Amino acid sequence: MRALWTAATGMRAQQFNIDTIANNLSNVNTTSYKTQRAEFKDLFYVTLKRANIVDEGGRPVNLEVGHGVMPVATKRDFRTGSFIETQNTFDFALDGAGFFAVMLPNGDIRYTRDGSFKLSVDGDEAYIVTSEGYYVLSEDEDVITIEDGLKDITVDELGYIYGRDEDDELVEIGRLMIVNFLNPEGLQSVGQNLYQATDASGEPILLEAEEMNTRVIQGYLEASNVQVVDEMVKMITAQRAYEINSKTITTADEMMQIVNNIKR
Amino acid sequence: MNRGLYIGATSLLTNQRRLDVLANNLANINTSGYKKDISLSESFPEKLLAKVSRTPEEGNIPRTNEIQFEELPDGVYRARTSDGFFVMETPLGRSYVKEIEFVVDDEGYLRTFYKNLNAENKTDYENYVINGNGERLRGEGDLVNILQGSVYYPPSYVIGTMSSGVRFQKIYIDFTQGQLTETGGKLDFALKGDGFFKIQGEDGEVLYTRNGSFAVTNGYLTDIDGRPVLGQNGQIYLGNGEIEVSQNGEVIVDGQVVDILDIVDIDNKEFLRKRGDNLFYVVENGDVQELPFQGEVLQGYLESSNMDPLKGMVEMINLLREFEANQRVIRMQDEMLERAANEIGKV
Repeated sequence: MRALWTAATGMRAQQFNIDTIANNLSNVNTTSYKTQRAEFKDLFYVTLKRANIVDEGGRPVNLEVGHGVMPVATKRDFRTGSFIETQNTFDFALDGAGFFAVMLPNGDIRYTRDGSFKLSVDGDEAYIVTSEGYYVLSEDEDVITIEDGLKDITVDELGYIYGRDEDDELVEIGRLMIVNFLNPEGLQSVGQNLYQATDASGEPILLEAEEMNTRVIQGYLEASNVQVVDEMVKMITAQRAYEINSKTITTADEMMQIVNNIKR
Repeated sequence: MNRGLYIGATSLLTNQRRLDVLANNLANINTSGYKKDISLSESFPEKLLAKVSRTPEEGNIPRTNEIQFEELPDGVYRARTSDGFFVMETPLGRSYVKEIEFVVDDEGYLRTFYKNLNAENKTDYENYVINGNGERLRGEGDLVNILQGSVYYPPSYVIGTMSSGVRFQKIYIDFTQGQLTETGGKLDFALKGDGFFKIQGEDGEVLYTRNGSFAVTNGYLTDIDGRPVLGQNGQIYLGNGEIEVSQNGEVIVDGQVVDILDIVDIDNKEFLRKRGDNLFYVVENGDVQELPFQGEVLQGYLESSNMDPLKGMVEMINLLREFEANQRVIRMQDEMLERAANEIGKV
């Protein structure tokens, strides 16, 4: 009974689908979370009969049956989520494509759309860091240092950071590093809202101020782009598909039982 | 042994295979671009049945015969004979039938046919009408006359024909459009209308797919497994730009048309086979022509599987009950044999 195993692959694939949906739903309130979607492909095909039956043109007759399904990828949906006003000086949202760059303690660079940054004070100086304490990078891949005495920090649409010194003069502190990828779908999620560049995503491309379509918005955060209704619909279809595949197993089982009952 | 026993068993085997095919369809109910398989079964050839006490007799003497001949729409002919049988050549030997429906194929042979989804008559892997000497009939024009000489008159000890059951004949891929779902992905494409994206396989061969969930690998547009998607100028290089695809398949990167997606329709889709990974290939010696694509490309959409769960469940119930009924047939034959063995001989 090949059908038994075929249906089992179907159930496993739907389980994977449900796992993905569950992760989406649990991140419905995660800043800048991007919905994931499970993708499937059909498994290989085999000919039902050993004897290769050919028609007049020497072409084999289509008698190939598939072995079921397997999950092949999870694709992220990078559509921008809605913006939530926080009025916090160090909360930033990106309106359009792009990522902030942050540096891990070991020097590796990761990318994020979660612009909920903090100030980390170290003696006279302060640094812009993420909630985990990772340094947020400036355009020239350096940490962003805010000297003592600077206040009223503002960030303009292009990502330039300004502050006012004691004489109320506007001082430019630096520019946030904002990058984009050719294929953001190829980025690897490493948790904590961070992504890692991979071969599939390509190298990060720095968005220069002159040619930037993306806007940095201060005092806002980007909400998760999970559409609960869509996820619910997906959950229903996944569950039903799971059920249907289990019915296939029941049917195969019943057929085997019927066969057993031939012999009294 | 009783024939019925084996006839019942053929149905059990066929229904098991039908479940295998159905299980695959249902497992792929969420696979984008998946096209469902339809299983076709056929009866075994009609064989002549003879009386046990046969008297030797003259063989096939051609006689004039009343053939009722009808011409149906779409080049289909129907013929019926009152005496004798038409002889069909099938992969399993000759079949003797009273009534045939046939078409004249491209080479002029008289053949049975099946209808594809566009209601065209297809003759690949179908049976031939032959005459008593085993020659395939071909010709045009006066078909009645051609058929006239071909009717087989069995000796009088032949009392009729009988088929010895059912067998799984072949799988037919249903290429009807699946539902389009919005995903919003820049690299998700769906085709509206008949057609396929062309993908370059690992050995440079051309593969076809309806699953437009693509990715970028080293700057080139590829499918999820990294196989290049073909444009009219070969592989499509996107570089570092934003990709837009117009309804007629033009790939626009940063406002410049870089290529046009090579999307083709295929005229004889019965020669396409599935390879897994949502890909189709053309079978060896397949008589396949690429036709221009008439539909639209939609960016940000994917085509869902065209498998309908409702129909699948109905088919499953159907085949299970058919399976059950044939098991009863076998049980019944078994009971008869039991009676014969144990009770007739009882004193």
